[in-house]
Amino acid sequence: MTFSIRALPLFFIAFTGLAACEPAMTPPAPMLAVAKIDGMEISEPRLRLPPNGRDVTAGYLTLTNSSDKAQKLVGASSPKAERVELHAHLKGADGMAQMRQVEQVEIPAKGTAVLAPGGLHLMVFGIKDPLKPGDSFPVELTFAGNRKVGFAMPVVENPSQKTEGDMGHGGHPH
Amino acid sequence: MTDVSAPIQTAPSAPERRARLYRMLWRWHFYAGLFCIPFIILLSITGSLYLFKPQIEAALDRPYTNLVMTGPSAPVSQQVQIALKQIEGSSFKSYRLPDGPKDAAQVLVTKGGEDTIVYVHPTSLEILKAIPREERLMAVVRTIHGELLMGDNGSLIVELAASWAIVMVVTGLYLWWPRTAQGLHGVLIPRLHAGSKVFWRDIHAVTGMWVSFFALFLLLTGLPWTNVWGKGFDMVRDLTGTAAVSKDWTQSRTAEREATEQVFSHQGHDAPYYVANVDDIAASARAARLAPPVTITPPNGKNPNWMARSLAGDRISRVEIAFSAQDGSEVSREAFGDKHVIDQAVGVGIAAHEGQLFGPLNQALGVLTALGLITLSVSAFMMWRKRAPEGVLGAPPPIPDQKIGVGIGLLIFVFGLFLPVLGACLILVAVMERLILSRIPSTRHFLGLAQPATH
Repeated sequence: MTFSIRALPLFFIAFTGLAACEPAMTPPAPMLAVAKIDGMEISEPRLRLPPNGRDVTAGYLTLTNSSDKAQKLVGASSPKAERVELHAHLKGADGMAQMRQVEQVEIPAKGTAVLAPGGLHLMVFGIKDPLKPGDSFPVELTFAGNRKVGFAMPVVENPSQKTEGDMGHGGHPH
Repeated sequence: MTDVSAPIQTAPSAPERRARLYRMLWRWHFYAGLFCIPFIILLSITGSLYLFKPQIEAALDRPYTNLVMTGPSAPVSQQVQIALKQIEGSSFKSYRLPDGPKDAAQVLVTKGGEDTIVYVHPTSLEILKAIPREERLMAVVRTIHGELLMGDNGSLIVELAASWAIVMVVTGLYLWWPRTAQGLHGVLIPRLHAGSKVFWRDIHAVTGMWVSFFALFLLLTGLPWTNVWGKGFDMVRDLTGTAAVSKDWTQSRTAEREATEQVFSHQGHDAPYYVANVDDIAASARAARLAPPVTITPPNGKNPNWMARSLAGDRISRVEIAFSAQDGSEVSREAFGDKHVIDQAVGVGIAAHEGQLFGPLNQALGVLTALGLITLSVSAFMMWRKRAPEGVLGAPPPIPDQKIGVGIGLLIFVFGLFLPVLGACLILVAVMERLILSRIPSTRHFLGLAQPATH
């Protein structure tokens, strides 16, 4: 009995020591930002390798807004491409999803907007030089109020050899 | 030949019946205890360690967090590719979302049924560490706890020890039940200064009483993990139409390894072409803000969708999101509340068993119960050594007339049914005792068995 009483403080110390190495309790954090502007952080950018022989492809990224006001992404450009448009898959009158250019992407206050396949994305047209995975593709985003921020998008493999708008219904309705 | 040891039978009086029952249960408690003690001690020690798995693994992973970032983070797909190159011929099994932006990525790759965790620096893409998943400290502790490092045979032994331990708690409570005690001493409080025999008896009985509920809870919540009871449980659910669509606990490492090998073997170079990439699923999973740890699994033989799963220890915070392999859009989402009520009950039981249901208090209760069980084992051993006469095992002496009442018989039958390995063991032991052990005078004498009934 005396043994266990004397050992009790040891247990408490060990216990609190271990409790100090606390594992994570909050959801996994966004990846390190590649660019920041006015409380907005841009992370996880990636440009899909254009399918064989084509000069059109899609780019994706995550926008995290930690400010109290909603922000709007209104445009994008790149010195290495003819033009970059904001696109979304929207349901048309016939119920089929079609890719459409959109004027802006809203990122809610204290919220996140994820540009991903099948949803919001950057459509990059007229890529001037051939790209390969691992290359760095410069991009500039324009937010409401003519605020611009530039960063590099890494080029990643495109396992499907297709790009946004190729699958299913129609292509780009331009 | 007249058998003088069998007096003319008259109906036993109620006190006689009680005394017989007490003696019988005491003998079972003794014999079962001899078998259980080493396993109880081992499971208590390994279990106590495993209770702190989140803290221990956080401490072990500390060197791979808050890294020096030499540039922007590389895309997840590049991190996965680097990890796949590390193990020749491996397939991508899952990606764990780093908890912080400066933490190493943990990529799980698999080859031939064996998984390896590869820690990749998110900016320099340097391989920081590669360790087979089963070799992680907590994985080894868990394998000892669940199957004694002996595969399915070990799992069976653990299940048998746990089943007998349930019997031990129940018989123990019967033995402890105060009949002639005066006051709380010897019942709720141990008598520490009444001589060493009373000391060890009270330490054993009183600790046993205090720990009984929690010990029983641990034993019962561990049953879904076992091979025999667990499979029986699944069978009953299939038969009654209450089966789960998918389970998130597995019964044996062997089964896990085989399943992994089948499911991921056609990945790698022949991967079908999907539009959504691991980068896209990772981004969507991060935006979904699930409880950590969060893992992403690619489509495979068992599941055509990408999955983002929260593996939160408390089970209640777990959410599973399925993303389409075609365009990465969310296909379905299952939270804990969406599960079948039986799965919810088993899930809560598992979380409480693992000490993850309600924070440090849960872990503390687990440790205290384990310490209580170790105390029970040590005190039982001391009692045995102090009481056992020279040259024999030291079992409580048998009653000459070995009749079992209908009530007890029914109880034994129910226990044997509910705990199948126990039932099988009872039959085996009864056969061995009747046919062999009690007929050889030296073993009968040593083991303290009753004379076999003459026909």
